[in-house]
Formats: sequence, C-alpha cells, structure tokens
Amino acid sequence: MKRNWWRWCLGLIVLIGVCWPAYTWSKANIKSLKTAGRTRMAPVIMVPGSSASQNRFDDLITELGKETPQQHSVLKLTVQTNGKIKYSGNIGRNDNQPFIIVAFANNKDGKANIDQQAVWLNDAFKDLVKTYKFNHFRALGHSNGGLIWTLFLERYLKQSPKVHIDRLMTIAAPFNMESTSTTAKTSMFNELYEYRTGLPNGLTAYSIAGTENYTSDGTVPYNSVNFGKYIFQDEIKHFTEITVTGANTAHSDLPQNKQIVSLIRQYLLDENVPSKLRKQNQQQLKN
Amino acid sequence: MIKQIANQLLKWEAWLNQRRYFHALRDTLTLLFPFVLIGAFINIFNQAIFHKNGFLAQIYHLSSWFPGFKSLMTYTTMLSATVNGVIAVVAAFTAANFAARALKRDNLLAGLTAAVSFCLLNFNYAAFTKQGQGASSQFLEQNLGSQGIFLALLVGLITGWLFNHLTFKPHSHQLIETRRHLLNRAQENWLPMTVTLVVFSLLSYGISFVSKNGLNGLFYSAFRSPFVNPGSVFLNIVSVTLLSNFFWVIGIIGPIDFSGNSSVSTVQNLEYALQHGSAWGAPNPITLHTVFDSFANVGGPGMTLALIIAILWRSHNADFRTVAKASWLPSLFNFNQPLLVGLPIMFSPILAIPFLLAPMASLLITWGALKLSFMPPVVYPVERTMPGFLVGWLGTGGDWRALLVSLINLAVATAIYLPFILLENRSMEGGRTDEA
Repeated sequence: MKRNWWRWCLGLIVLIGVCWPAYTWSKANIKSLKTAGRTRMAPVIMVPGSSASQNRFDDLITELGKETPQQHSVLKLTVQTNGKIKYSGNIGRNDNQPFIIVAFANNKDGKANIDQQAVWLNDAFKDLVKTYKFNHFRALGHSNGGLIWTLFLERYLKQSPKVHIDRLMTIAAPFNMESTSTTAKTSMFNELYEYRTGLPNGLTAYSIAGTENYTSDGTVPYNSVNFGKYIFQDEIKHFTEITVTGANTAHSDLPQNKQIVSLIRQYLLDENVPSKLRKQNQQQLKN
Repeated sequence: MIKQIANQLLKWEAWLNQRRYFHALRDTLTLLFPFVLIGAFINIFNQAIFHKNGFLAQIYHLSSWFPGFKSLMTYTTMLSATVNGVIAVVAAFTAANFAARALKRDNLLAGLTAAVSFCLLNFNYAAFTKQGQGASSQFLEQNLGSQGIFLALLVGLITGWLFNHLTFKPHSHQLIETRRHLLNRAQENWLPMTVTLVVFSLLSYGISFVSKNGLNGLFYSAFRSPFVNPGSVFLNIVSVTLLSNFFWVIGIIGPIDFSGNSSVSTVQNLEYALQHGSAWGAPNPITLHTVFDSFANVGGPGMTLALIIAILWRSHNADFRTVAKASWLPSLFNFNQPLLVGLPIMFSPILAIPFLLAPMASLLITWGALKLSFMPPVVYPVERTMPGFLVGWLGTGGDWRALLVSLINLAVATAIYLPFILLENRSMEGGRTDEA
C-alpha cells in the first residue's frame, strides 16, 4: 500500500510538471501568434479561363513540381454565384510560396460575366488576405483569367491597401476579346483601357501569346493578345510580351506547354533555373 | 443475447486463428512487436522531444537550452528513417517465413524472396526519367515504412503460398549446414523463387504505367479519396473516421492520420480567435480537426490510451499486460503502433470492434458538447505529439470544460473497451483448458 501511495504521488508530480509548463507555453504561443501574424508568405494566385474549373492548372502544377526541389502546397477555391467560397486542399505550415487557384462556379465567357468574375475574385482575395495575412503575391491568369486579373488590379486591389502584387503573368489573354483587328476596339478592351491608370505602378507584367500559325493559337487571336500593350505600357514598371510557337501551342495546351512552364519558373516564380533554360527563355524573348 | 454474440465472436476468433495464413499473419505481427516498440520510442525522441514542433520541446523550450539539440535532431531522424523506414520489408520477410513454415517449406528462402519481391514492387520508375536522375532514390522509400505494412503482409503471404504449392517435398532442417545441403535448397526452390520474382516484377512494371508511386501509392490514393474534403457535416466526419480507423485495423496505416492545423477552416478559426481574443463563436466549430484530431485521437487512432487503461485495470492476460506496460509511454504521445502489432489489434475481431466504436462515442460526445455550446472549439495550434487528453484544454486556450470533455471521452472509451477485455479474459481461460 505504501508503495502505491508513492507511485500516485510521483504520477501527480509528473502530471503537474507537464501541465503547468504546457499551459504557460500555450498562453505565450497565443500571444506571439497575435502579434506576429503571417507575413513571409507570398502566394502565387492563379485564375483559369472561361469554362475551366479549379482543377484547370493541375497539369501545370505537376509539371512545375517535377523539376523544382521545393514542393508547393495547393489550395483551390471556387466562388459560388452567391459570393460564397468553397475551399479545398490546404496550405502547408512552412510553405512560403503556396499555389492558390481561384475559380468561379459561373465561369462563362462574355464581358458581363468577366466583370462579375473580377468582383468575385476580389471577394475571394479579401477572404484569403484575412485568413492568411499575406502582404505580397504573384498572379497568373490563363485566357480570360488574365482579363479578370487585369480588371481586379485596376479596380479592386486598392481595397486591400496593405497587399502588393509583385508580378503578373497572363497566358493568351485576349485583351481585345475575339477581335482579330488591329484597330477596332471591343467594349471589353475599352473598359480595361479606361481603368488602366489604376494599375499598381510597381508591377512587373508578362503577357505570353501562343501561336499555332501567324494569326492565333486556334482560339485567341494574336492581335487580341497584342492589345495588352495599350493597357500596360507606360502604366507599370515593366511590361514584356513573349510569343511561344512550336509544339503544344493550341490555346488550351498553353498552361502546360514545356516552354511556358519554364517561363513561369524563371519569371513568375523567380526560381533559380538552370542556365540552359535561361538561355532558351532568352531566345524566346528575342523572337 | 449479448452472451450469444460474445460466444460467437470468440468462436469466430478461434476459427480464424486456426486458418494457416491468418495464423502466420498474427505471428508476423507479434514478431514485429519489438521493432515497432523501439520505433515508437525513437518517434518519441524524434518527434516529441528533438523536434522544433515537438510537444516536450515546445513546453520546455528545449531547443534554446538543451546542449546539442540540433545534432540530436539529426541523429534521431536518422534512427527513425531507418528503423521505422524499412519495417515493411521486415514484415514481408517475416510473413513469408511463417507462411512457408506452416507446411515445412524452406522458410528462410521464402522470406528472403518475399523481401526482395516487396522491394521490386516499390521501385521508383521516375529514376529513369530525365528529371528524376540523381534527384531521387531508386526506391519509393515512403512505401517501405509502416505505410507499406498491408502490402508487405500480402506479398509475404502470397510468396509463402507459392512456396507451399510449388515445392514438392518438405524442407529438411539441418543443424549444421553443409555446402551440399545449401545447394540442394537452391535446387529444390528455384521454381517458386523464380515464379515469385517474375510475378511481382511484372506486376510492378505494369503498375508503373498507371501509378507513379507503385501499388502502394495506388492503394493510398484509392483509400484517401473519401477523405479529401469531409467538410463540416457531422455524419461525413463520422464515416470518414470510421473508415480510416478500419483501415488501421487491416494494416493500412494513416490515410488520415492527423489532419492537422493547416486546413482552411482551421486557419479561419485561428484568425477569428486571435482577433476576438476567444475561441467562442469561431466560424467553423465542427471540422475533422476540432472533433476528430482533438478529441477522438487520445493515445492515437482508436482512443488506444483507453485500451491501455482497460488492460492494466482488468485484464488477466499476461501477454496483454506486458504489451500494455511497454506501450503506454508512446501512447501518451499518440504513437499506438506497438499496440496495433503487439496485442495485436490488427486483424483481431474482438479488439477491432471497440477500436472502431470508441472514437465514435468520443465524436458524438464532442459534437454534443460543441452543439450545446458547452465548450468552445479547438482553435489554437496543437501538435501531433501533444498528449491526447490535453489537446482540448490547450487547443481552446486553457478552457477547463474542454479538459472535462476530454476526460469524459477517455472514461467512456475505457468503458467501451472493458467488456471486450473481459471477454478476452474468458477466451484465454478457455484456451488454456483446450491446451491442457
């Protein structure tokens, strides 16, 4: 009986020896969380084009994951038509460059829809900033996703004054919609042009065009992508247009096109790419 | 009525144990016990003590004053990667060994063949592609650890079966091996060896066209698919937990081990709590994290700390008591693998039932407490190695009611395990008379 009494005593002492420091630690931890926040994170936010879901960039992400040493965690959002946001996936705790994909339940084409999608992107963006407290990000948009980004940057980013965009890359973004003309302006372009002064001055933007032939990538006319210069040039710090030709340059293949993937790695993700790729990318720029 | 069911259960367990391959399976698990136990203790050192986010490291701020913390971190990680990292290969060897021994075949060769076959199944074909060169290992290492145990057991048993059916006379053991006898062994066993290797190598190559992570990867992606997004619907959480724990019972360890702090709902909860200074009214009170991770995972999946309490309290089974006495410390930090293979819980109908039921009861109690606003949800970050019964308390920022719910859960889980331990007592006494 005496031995048992000792055991209980010892157990109690150990329990207190664990619980008390655990309690003080958790209080201290909560305090430090309150003051610190999460500011080192700089996500890459991707917006797919019309009729594409939140899984649009899966191939691109696998392609990127193949060659990078760093694994990016992936968070996918779909904004419902009522503005509610559905999340799937998560962001790893120590991941400072996660991929976030923002898609829309109503992903239809057309100016009215794109205007609305930019508003939804703003809803999603504000929710993300509130949750993850980041103050820098990079943006990637494919097709109309590029237009949604441009509209968002022109009109809505101001609503999150603490957040800065580092880089924007659009892939085959039809700044002048389906128009093949070099002069006629669509209402979509007029809107983008009208608000262009709202673009953040420090922005570095890349606009990639794919071409299967001399005029288009099969869906988006080259001339329409080329209209981007009227919007970005002289409004932002750097604006670069890149044309990719060769295999897999049909509109919907572009995001997972090998050359574009290496462009994304070098210019958007700022990765330390091998000199071979660097050279190849530079040749791309000259063409 | 209950007695009848109990008797049926006992009969069924006894019947199962007489099946040759099932028996080999259980023997394998028991033989693995010392390795798994050592592995669990290594895990305590590696994950709870010498790890930046380890529970003991954090509460005692070990990293700032403990001499050689970083080197010990490296050292224990090495230990964990090796001892725990190849446990499935050992399992494949052992399973084939026992299976072939049942029919007196060449068990040593069968075991070795199975171990090689298992490695065959986990070859990393990506090593051939241009990008993979030099970057990654030749083998899919993550499949060689406890993740791979289910597949390893399967490979072992199949290999044993092939040896049993493709050799024509029993193996004669020699106390002192001569070269001639050894060569004879090769001659007698070339057929099953070749067949096994060919079968598994072809299987492995075939799978490589479908899945990048081998057969095991295919398994896991299939088993994990129901767990992708259980959301906040309680019924989903219950079924996901049930399924996950069932997988543990058959040796598929951890499709959802500990969903952790990173899901969006958890981050949203944390943000809310930090802004409002309290966990009350957090936007996502019921998620896998707030209910399952925090309250139904005490001592590891299946509320196994309750099982240990039940065994130490009432069990007359000396083996059970030995295993429980050796495993309580890892179980405090939520490593329950020693119990899974030692008792074993894996492939044991009697223990599987409470293993599945106990977490359900905890889920229900926790859900009720949250719904009735008896306690706030767990919102602050908690670590995987935090003792299970403290998670609620610390995760709510020190709310005593959450601690109370944790303790109630533990008590209820113990009450659920107890009848099965008593039943097991009876079966043991029955077994003894059989042997006599």
